[in-house]
Amino acid sequence: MFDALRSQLATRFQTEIPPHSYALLRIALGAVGLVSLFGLTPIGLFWHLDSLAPVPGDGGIRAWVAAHGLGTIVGNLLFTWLLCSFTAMTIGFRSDAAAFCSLVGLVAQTRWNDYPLSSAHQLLTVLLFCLIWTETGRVWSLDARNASGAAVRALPAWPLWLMRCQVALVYLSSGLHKFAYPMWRDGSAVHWALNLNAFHRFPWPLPVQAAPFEALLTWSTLLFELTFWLLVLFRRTRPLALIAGVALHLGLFATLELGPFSFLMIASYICYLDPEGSAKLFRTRNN
Amino acid sequence: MIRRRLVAIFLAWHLFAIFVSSLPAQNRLSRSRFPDRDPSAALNPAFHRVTTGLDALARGTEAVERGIWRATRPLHPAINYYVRMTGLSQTWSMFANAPTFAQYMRVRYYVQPRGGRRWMATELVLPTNREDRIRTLQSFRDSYRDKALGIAIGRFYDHRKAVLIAPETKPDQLPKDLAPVARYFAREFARTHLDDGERLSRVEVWVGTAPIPPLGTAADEEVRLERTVVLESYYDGPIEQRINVAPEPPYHAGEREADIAWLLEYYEER
Repeated sequence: MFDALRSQLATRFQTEIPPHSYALLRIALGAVGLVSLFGLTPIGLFWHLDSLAPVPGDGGIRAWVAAHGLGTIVGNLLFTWLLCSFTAMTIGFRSDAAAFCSLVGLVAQTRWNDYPLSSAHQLLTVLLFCLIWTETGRVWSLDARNASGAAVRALPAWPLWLMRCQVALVYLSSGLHKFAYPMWRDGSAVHWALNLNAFHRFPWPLPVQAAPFEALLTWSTLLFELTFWLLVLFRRTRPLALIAGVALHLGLFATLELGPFSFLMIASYICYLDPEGSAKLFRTRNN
Repeated sequence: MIRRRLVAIFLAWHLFAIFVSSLPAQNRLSRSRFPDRDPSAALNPAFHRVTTGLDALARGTEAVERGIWRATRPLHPAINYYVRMTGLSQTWSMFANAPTFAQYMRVRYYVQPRGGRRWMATELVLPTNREDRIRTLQSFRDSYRDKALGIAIGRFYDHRKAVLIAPETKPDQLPKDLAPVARYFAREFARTHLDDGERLSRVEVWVGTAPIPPLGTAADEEVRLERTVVLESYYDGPIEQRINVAPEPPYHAGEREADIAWLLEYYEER
């Protein structure tokens, strides 16, 4: 059994796939990155050292920057860096360098000011980490247009597998964290979340009659997150997992203000789509 | 061939590292609770059975998590270093322990005119987007400010020692996590509301909480309306008070508006 598993993994590892899935992911992550940057404006609110950012400590780069009065300049530069790299990613200009620069910028942003950063930022960072190991600009990019005439070559599948594992891990970890708290086991968690005044989208509380529905939603979410990794493992159950995931995130988007988190989770599902299918979509559109 | 092997080793290490670092930390596990479940508090008997079943399952899961955590302990320094250096933090605990109360924050400014009478103003800063209307596009941007304020409060509570919750506590004894909040809003207030010759003499950050009715319990409509009226008064901007200005309160003083209980958590004197 071990040999069979090893052989299966080796096959998956050596497989090559059309580059379209990577291109789609590059465009989607770049676009979500730009939307996130829009949310982090005006620049003076989060990017300067004297804005809503942690007070610089006694040592480190932030302290040095503050001591030299460069807090505003460095903040502006970091914002511009991310704006340029996400734009380049989205349009596919120097795609691979753009993806790498975006990742560097996101990590730098975490070190610079993590006050306004949510799980969406964390998710964007880990997804980009998976994407930098491959070429993302072979199709649907300015790079591809400039290199017109060059044949579209296949790419290694392992970065896509890495991303699949990462997304599955996000759900498993989230499910395990939730499972440890009583409110998720007694069915009340969705009720508390929907009533949080900083998050709810609608000002009206749900009627008491909806309580059983809220409990069922709580347990469904828990079940989904704990079993997602298993459902996406098998080709037959994968569509079910993805449809349920899209429904969950659209529901979250409709009821809670979570910034770009819902868009990002749905965008990450591109990695679970059949790479050949994405390529066919490209061919159909060009025909 | 060598390249393939290197990639395989990297992949194996990376997946192992992110898996271990995504597990709930052991100190968090030890704090997790298994309360006694009162059948009469459940929505119905079937839901009670589901809850107790899940509790039993969670105990087993927790034991497995603890086992993995202990078995991988020698590698934790290397894993933590790798995850920190690459920026691949794997704490996915969104809404795992959601607050069971509504949270507010307001900033109070004391203004000292040159040779005039002192006045004060109070501004609601959290939530940024008013909560009595449907939230659409603007709330997307506002959610970032709310997140920043929420993290600042959380870190402040983590860092503040219990002995500092006393009336005689001075600003320089307090953690600085809420200092950016006080300073940013004070600067904005001074820019938009102060005349020449006026200066801020003190800035206070108040954190407010209000109860949320538990699952299956109807909200008291009268209390809800009272809170709405209080919040309505804040939505037009800072509320100025130019006569009968109260004396400056001691640290951790309390105030009440409708069902919102306010506590003075941080202040700075200038």
